[in-house]
Amino acid sequence: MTDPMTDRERSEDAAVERMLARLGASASAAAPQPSEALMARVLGDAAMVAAERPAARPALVEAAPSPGRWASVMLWFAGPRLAALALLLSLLGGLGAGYAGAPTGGFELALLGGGGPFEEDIADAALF
Amino acid sequence: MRGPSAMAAAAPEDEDAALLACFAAGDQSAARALSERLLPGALRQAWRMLGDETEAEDVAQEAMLRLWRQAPKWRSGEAKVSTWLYRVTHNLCIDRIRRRRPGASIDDVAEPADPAPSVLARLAEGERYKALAKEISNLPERQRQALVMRHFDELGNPEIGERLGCSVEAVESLLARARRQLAKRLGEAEKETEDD
Repeated sequence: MTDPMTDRERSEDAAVERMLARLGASASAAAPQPSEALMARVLGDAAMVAAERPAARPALVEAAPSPGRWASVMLWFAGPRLAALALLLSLLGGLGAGYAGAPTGGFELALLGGGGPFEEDIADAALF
Repeated sequence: MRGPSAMAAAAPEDEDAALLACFAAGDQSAARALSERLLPGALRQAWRMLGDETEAEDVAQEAMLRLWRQAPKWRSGEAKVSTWLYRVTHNLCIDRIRRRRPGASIDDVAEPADPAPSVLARLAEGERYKALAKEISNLPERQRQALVMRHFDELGNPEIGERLGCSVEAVESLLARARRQLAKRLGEAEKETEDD
């Protein structure tokens, strides 16, 4: 903890504070303000930097993919799903083929109730 | 995209960062708004350090140019725009002062002390004010920096703390010690004059 200030010290500090404020005010008054010419130079620099920078172009145009890129994105996105769909379809197709083959070989003939031994032989063969 | 007028409700420092983001996104009106806010301070700081208006203008322009180039890489929340610009302006002034020394390579010259007091001495009218300017230059470095920022760059204590990397309480302590020191030395100088 610092020692408490005496009245004299407080008075001296206040005097210095006033002098600093006055000197600061002199400095502020003497300090230059930006001229129109300086402002124009600064804004010219800003325009130059913006023109140099690719990011200054509209972001959406930059971000929009080309048709070729769209196709590759779609393929990437849809590829696994298409493969899964094809697998599913082939499985269903195989099942369908098996189901379709069985009646043709046996059940269908059985349902038809074929009469003669020849038909029964065919039916038996089809069942195996 | 938020235009400069939409920044009115934001805190001043957030407003600077928001304007910089607008500029980075291609809004040229943000560059004007930002220049109107920051250029006077950069120019005043450079003039205070260099004591020459033409040189100060060149430095302020260069500092702003660096800000435009920094805009796309600016990361909000890491530093205040005004603090960054203050530091860049300071360094550019130091480089200029080094170049003034004939026959010396810039890298060979140590960073000179803040020359503000010598510029202030030119402005001081009367023996007492000249003595004050001289005593400011004799203060310990951090006390002098805090005092110059407070009284001549017109910064508040939080901004000074930001620039010096210390708390507001530490800034208040630095300022109080600086004023005490100045009062003591000015008193001693007056006493010596009376004795003579």
